[in-house]
Amino acid sequence: MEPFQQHTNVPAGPVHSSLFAAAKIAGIAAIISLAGSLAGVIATLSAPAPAIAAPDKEGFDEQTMQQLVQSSTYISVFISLAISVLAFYFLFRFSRLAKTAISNSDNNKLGAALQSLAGYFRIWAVIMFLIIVLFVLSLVGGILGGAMGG
Amino acid sequence: MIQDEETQQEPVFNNDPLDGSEGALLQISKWTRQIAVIGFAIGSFIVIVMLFSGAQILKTIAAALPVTFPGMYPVLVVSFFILFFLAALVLFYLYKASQLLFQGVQQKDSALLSQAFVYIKNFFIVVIVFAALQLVVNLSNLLS
Repeated sequence: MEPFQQHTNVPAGPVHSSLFAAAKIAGIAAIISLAGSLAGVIATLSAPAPAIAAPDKEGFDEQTMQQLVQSSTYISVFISLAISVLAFYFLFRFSRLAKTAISNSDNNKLGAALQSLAGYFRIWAVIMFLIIVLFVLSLVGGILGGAMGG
Repeated sequence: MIQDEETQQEPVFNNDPLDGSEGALLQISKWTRQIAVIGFAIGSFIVIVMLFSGAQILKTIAAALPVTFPGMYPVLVVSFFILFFLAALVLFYLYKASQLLFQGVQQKDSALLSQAFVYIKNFFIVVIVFAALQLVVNLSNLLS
C-alpha cells in the first residue's frame, strides 16, 4: 500500500503562502493592466483626429506639421502598447508558474517564475531610467534656453 | 548541544522551495531598488517643480480638461496629492521588498523573504488600483 500523500493547493510555510498570495494578486494586476492599456489604445485610435494648431516651422508647411504631430501620437500609443504587452507577458508568466510550482513543489518552475518577476521589474526599471534621463535633458534644455535668452 | 542547534537551524532555509533561486531573488531585489531610487528622485523633482509653479501647472491642466465645473481647481489639487501619495506608497513597498529580499538571501532567513513577498503583494494591490483607474478613464473616453 502506498503511503498517504496529501495533495493540496494551499501552500505550506510562510514563504510559500506569501509568494502564492503575491502570485495570485500579480495575475489579477496583469490582466487589469493589459485591459486598461488595450482600452486606451482603442480609444486613441477610434477618436477623430483633433484639430491641432501646428504652425509651420523649420521649412515644413502646416499640413506636414499636423501629420508629424498625429504620427507621433500613434507611435507613442504603439510604444505604450508594446510595453504593456511585454509587462503582461512577464507578470502573467510569473503568476502562472509560481502558482503551479508551489502547488507541485517544483523548484525549477519556481526559479523560472522568479526570473519572470525579475524581468517584469527590469522593464519598469529601464522605463524609469529613460524617464529620468528625459527629465534631466528637459531641465538642461530649459536652463540653457533661459541662459541664451530664448 | 551545538549539533542540536545546527539540526534545528538547517531546515529553515534548505527545505524552503526558494532554495536554489537566490540569483533570481537578488535580481528582483536589484531592479526593485533601482525603480524605488529613480522613483524617489523623480518624486523629489516633481515636488520642487510644484513648489515653484504648481498653481500655474494645475490651472493650465484645469483649463485643458474637456470637462469643467465650479470648484474644479481644489479637486485637481486633492487628486494630485492622492496620486502622489499612492505613487510614494508604491515606491515604499518596492524599497522595503528590495531590502528584505537582499537581507533574506544574505542571512538565509525565510521570515524576511516571506515579509518581502508580502510587500510585493501590497505593491501589486496598488498597481491594481492604478490599472483599474486607467481602465475606467479609458473606457469612459471610448464610450463618450
